[in-house]
Amino acid sequence: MSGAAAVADEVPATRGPAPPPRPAVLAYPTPTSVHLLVLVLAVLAGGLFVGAWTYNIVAGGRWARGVAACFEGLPADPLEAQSVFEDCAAALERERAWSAAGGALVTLALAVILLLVHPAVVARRRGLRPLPAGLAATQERVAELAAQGGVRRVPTVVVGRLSQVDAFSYGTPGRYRIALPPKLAVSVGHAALFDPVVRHELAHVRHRDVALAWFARTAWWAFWPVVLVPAAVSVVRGDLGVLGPYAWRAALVLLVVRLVADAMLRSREHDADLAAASPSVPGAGAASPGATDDGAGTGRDRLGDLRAVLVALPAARVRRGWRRLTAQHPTPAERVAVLDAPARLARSSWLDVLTVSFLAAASFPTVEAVAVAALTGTGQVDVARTVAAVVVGAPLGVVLALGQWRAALFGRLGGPGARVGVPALMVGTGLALGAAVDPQRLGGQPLGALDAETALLSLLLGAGALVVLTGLGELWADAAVRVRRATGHWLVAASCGVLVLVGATWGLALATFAVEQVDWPFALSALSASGAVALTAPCAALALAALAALVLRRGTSAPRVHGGQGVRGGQGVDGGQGGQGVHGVRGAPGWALERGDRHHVPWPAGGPPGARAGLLVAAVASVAAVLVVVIAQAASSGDTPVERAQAYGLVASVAGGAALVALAAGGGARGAGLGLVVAPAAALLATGGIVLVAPDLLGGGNAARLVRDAAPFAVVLGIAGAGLGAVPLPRGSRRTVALVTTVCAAVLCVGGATLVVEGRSRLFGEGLGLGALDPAAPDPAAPSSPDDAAERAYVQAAVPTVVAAFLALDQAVLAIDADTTLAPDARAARVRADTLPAVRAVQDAVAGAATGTARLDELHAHARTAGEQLGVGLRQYADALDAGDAVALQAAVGVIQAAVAERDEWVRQVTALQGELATP
Amino acid sequence: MAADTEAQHALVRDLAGAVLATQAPDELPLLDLTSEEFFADPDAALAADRRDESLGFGIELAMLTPVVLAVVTPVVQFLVDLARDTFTDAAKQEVTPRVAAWLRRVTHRDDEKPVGPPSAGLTETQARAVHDLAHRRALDLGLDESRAGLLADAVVGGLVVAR
Repeated sequence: MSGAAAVADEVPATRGPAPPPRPAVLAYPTPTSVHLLVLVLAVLAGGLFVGAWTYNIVAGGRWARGVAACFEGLPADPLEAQSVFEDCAAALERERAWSAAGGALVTLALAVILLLVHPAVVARRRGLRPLPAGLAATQERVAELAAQGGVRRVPTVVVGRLSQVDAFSYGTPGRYRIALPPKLAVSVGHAALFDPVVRHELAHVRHRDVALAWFARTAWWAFWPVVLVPAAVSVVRGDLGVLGPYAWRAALVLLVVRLVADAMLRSREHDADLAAASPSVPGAGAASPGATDDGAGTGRDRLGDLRAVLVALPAARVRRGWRRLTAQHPTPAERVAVLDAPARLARSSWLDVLTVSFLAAASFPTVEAVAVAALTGTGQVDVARTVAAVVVGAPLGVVLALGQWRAALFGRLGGPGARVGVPALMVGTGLALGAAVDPQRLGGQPLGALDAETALLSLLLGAGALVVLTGLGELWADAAVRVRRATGHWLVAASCGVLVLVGATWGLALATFAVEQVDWPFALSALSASGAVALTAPCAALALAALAALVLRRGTSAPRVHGGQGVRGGQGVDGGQGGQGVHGVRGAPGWALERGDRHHVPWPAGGPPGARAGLLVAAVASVAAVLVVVIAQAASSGDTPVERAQAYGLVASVAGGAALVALAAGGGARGAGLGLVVAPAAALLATGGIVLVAPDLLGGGNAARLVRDAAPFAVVLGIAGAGLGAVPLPRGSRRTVALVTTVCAAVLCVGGATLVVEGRSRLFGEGLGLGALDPAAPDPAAPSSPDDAAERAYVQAAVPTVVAAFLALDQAVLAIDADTTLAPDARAARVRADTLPAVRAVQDAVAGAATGTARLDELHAHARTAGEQLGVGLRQYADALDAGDAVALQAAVGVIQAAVAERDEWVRQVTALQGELATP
Repeated sequence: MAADTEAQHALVRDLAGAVLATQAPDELPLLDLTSEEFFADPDAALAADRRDESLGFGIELAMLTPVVLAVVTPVVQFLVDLARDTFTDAAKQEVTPRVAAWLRRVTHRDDEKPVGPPSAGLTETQARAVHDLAHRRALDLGLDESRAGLLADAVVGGLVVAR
């Protein structure tokens, strides 16, 4: 090696005493393998966007005219109208979807071509040559090491120029190459140097790092020309308005993709080091204790040799400051630290979590938009959000689950354990920032689509999802001793990650849309109604996963050794059995250790809360909910039964949600994981109790609906509050935790249920009236006493003002409709600039009008509703034009038509009132 | 001139081989390959590419061969000049057979009978000059004092010095 054996940072130059059995961190898949999937997804989503954008530029006018023509002659029935419209617009939408897919395919094709071509380019640029005949021993030794390392197809060894000082791997699957620096190629006789470096490279080959790393790199290279297409076209067309908004979004995504790729490579260097130092090949059976194999019977210590090489790596190559983020290797000190304590590797960095969450959220809008376009005409457009949630949420969930569960598992073997606070914050932040770069809103929101509601929802659901996922990981880490193979454990991890994050991204998208388009109460209704359909199975599966962990972990506390006898490992002894007084199980699971006497490695017990605390919380929460309902029933003033029924349904969900949040607050992440089974249980118990105390409201079909809706929505509410589990509160003993969580559950449930019951009119009585069980039922509490003077004042003062405002709005709309030359984005801009101020004038006129009688209240409500719906509908209309979203456009037209109907009803009633007042 | 260059390259390679035999014998199998690369572009051969290699190890392993070649090249040039001065054909500015034969003897390559009057090799003064030249060159290339001294010793060790 060049120069003296420089030691980087504080790397200790000598080893300590012989270490205990080492954790087999590599037995658990590294989340970086799935990082690549998220990275490629982001790149392909960019291709989708560019493809759709290109279509808008080339054929946008034709699309707009075609979609506008589909609005003509629609039947009166809304459902039938929707179906007819979709059939009409399907062909145009499929064109757009194909264009988007074309953009993604071009990106993918470019990446694959670069991947296939890169070996020849690398070989030529780096002057790589086959090994000369005199170095046949080098190739033979590489073949031996490959066999020991479980690499079936031996890579071809090539040698570089004199300037090459490091070894590296490259190539395509099945045709990998290891490029050795000339000095190393001739050093086959120096096993202490040759073997560790070559084993490291062979580990890269075995872990498929070569394919992953080069594909990540070529995908990034392929992304550049694709990203530049919209910018170039904008410049050529002189359409510079969107250039700025597009440029910063593209630059941010490119930067994050690069950071993710580099972080992935750094992490895999640790994996390669551990594999090079391991005496056994993962999955090939454990080596015999004390094995120091190299196949030649020399008894070399692989770990010691590798460590010595790492210690002597030059410190001068370590990047400092922000440049660390783009380094391809960890520092020598970091590598040695992981080698000495492999469990340290089992924790994802905050940057990994942030960047992966960002990319997933940034990809969601484009994937959803293309799914909508592709599904138009099939009658399944409402599935588009679910498709996007699965495509984006599934890999994100696997990344987060593998990272957190691996940390929790190897935290039992001396690792730092799973962090909760920072990762939870990073998931929420990443989701919020990713939503801010929504490319579908370039025209409407040039500085980014982030608003307070989106940010809050992202933080709540993102952080909560990470906390419950970590909690499940802690429960399953407790139960690991009863899991025979690593595969079984991490498959459960991946499945839970998929379920939690698909549900969270779906719920986040729905809630964000509902809050933006209407308000928070509508979002609650939408989540409750849609969630009952979409989330019942996932919530049930998660509850089963939590329950299975609780059952498996029974009796898995750390062993106590009696009479000098060890504890039998592997098969285990059931808790409480054994004449020698050995309580519980046992040593660590065999697949979690590399070698050595795993029977004597204790597996620490999990902490509180336990199953009993969960049962108590469920009982208390459900009783609290029922009590609130009992009091509400007794105090009922005879208002609409529909509102009360809906409120009581929500109370049952609040009971479950409160239980989960209380467990998270009192028990941390582990409590939140337990809450996945406690929340549905509490919701169902509460449902049963509420049906018993309010049979008049909730009998028959309503009860069935309540049972169906309560549990899934309880879990959603609970996840939204589970972020409390990330707060580092002192949690105390098992008894203290049980007490705290029980009290919290009671307080939260009573408070939440009371809010719901007291605010039921706001939640279920106003707005668009969705979710009502019987919208045609008259409101018996409406006031009806006439007042001649008030009515005359209304007709003479308020009506002309409101009419004038409506007329001004009509003129603005007619002026825009009259201009048939407007492109969609220009029309959207006119709608925002000309009609929205007129709508505000309508709303101001309506708000300023005095009523004073029950009849006027009812009459005036139509004008108020019309004003509100016009504001919503016209904003939706402009956004839909910008996004080129035909379905959203149709929805907006529907809202506007409903507003017009309300206005017409107000006009009709005012006319009738005027007639009455004019009659002597 | 090309033939002279080829002949000089051969001398450089041979002398470098003698040095490597004592300093880095494991590099001998690649001497032909590496000396070709060195003669094509000496600066590139001496420069180490310290890039942060993707899927690399992070190590820095440089050959001694280009350094030895770079040290030996001026030494051989010195010997050629010395030979020209020694023999009366110096004005021809070429490596005449007599010059070449002398160089082969001095560099331990001579298996044939000497041409012309027998010569016992370099004088001590000449050897010291070679040592100083090699030492200076090694220092210029960035070797530390100790390594430069060892290398210079090895260079002189590869030559025939009259006793």
